[in-house]
Amino acid sequence: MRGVIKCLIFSFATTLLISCSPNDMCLSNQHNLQAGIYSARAKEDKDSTLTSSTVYGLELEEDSLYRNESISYLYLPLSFSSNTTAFVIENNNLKDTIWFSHEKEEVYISRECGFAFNFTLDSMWHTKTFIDSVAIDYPYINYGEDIENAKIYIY
Amino acid sequence: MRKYIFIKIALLFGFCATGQNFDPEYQQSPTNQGIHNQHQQGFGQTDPHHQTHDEAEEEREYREEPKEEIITYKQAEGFTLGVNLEGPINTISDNKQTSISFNTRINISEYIFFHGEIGFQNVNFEKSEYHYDSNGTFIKAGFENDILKKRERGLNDNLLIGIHYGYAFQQHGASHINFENEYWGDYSSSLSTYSLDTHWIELSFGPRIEIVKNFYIGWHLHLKATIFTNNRYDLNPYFIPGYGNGDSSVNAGFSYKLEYMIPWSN
Repeated sequence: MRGVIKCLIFSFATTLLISCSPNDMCLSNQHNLQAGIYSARAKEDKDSTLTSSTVYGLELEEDSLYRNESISYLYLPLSFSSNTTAFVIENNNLKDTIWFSHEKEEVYISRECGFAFNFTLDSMWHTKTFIDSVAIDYPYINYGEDIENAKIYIY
Repeated sequence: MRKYIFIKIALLFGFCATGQNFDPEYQQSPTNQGIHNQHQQGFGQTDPHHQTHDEAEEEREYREEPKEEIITYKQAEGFTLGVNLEGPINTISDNKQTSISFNTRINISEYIFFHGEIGFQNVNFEKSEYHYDSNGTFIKAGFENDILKKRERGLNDNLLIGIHYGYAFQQHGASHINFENEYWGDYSSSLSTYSLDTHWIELSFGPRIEIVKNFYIGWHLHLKATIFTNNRYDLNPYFIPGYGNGDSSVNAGFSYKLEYMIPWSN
C-alpha cells in the first residue's frame, strides 16, 4: 500500500510538471515576404549585393525598412488591408519599385498566440532602372515557415 | 503559475494528512493482533522447561510458518452526491474561466461504481491578440472499480480506477481579433459566436477517503483523449468544458471532490 501511495504522489508530481510546461512560443513578423538578390549577368543563380541601399514601402519614404545598407536578402512585410504591396529600392540615387499581388487567409495558431495571416503570392512586377527581372520562387508565406519566396535579378 | 503549484501542493499534503489511516497495513488487523498476542503468551508466560515435546514442536511451527489471515469486511454501499472543486480552484490561478461541476457515484456492486458528472464553464478574456467568449456545459458517465479489496471494519476508503465517456456542448467566438503589423498598420476582424460539440474518452485514478461518517474527500488523476469534434472553423476552444485545453487532443488533469453518501447498506 505504501507503494500505491508513492505511485499516487508520483502521478501528482508528473501532472504538476505537465501543467507547468512552457507556453507555446509565438513567432513575430510571419507576414514577411523573403526575396533574394541575384545577378542578372550570371548564367546560374548567383547571390548579389546592393551596396548602400535603402528600402521602404511605397508612400512610406520616411519609414524605411533598410537605410544605406548592403543588401543581399530582403524581408518585406506584406500589407493586411490591401491585396497589393509595393516597395521602393534606392541604390546610388537610382530607384526601382516592385509590386507584389497577394491573397491572404486568416489562420488560428494557438490559444496563446491567437491568429495570423498566411499569404499566397499571385504575381509581381517592377520598374526597370537597375532591376532586370523578378521571379516567384515559392508563392506561400505561411506562419512558421522560413523560405525564400522571390528572386530579384539586378543588372 | 507559482500560485497554482502552491495550491495544488497544499491540497496534496492536506489529503495525505487526512489519509494517514488510509493504509490498511499501517494498522494491525484484528486477526494479526490475535496471532501476535498468542506469540507473546508463548514466549512470555510458558516456561520452556515444562513444555512437552508436542508443545515445543507446535511452537516451532508457529515460528517457521506464521499464518497471516486478513479479514475482508464489507464496505458501506449507497449513492453519493458531490461537488468537484477543480473549477473553483483553477479560477484562483486562471481567472479567465469560471466553472463548477456536480457528481454522483452509485454502487452497482460492492466494488463497482457508476459515476456521473455534470458541469458548466464560462470563459471570458481580452488579450492583445484576441477577445474570447465561451459558454458551455458537459456531462460525463462511466464506471469505476475499487481496487482496495482488503479492508478493516469501518474502513470505507476507496482506490478507484475508472473509464468515462465525456460530451461537451459549447458556444464560443472571438469578438475581436487583432493582426499586428508594425509597418503597414494593424488589421482587425472577428468571428461570430457558433456552437460545437466535443466527445472524449477519459481514464481516472485516485483515492477517495471517508473523513467523517458518510462524508468523503478525494482527488483523481484524469487522462483524456478527444475522439470527435464538429468544430467547423479554425478557432479552437480555449477550454472545452470538462475536458480542458482545446488545442490539445490529449489532456491530463486533476479533480478534487467532496461527496456525501446516502447509504442503503452498511
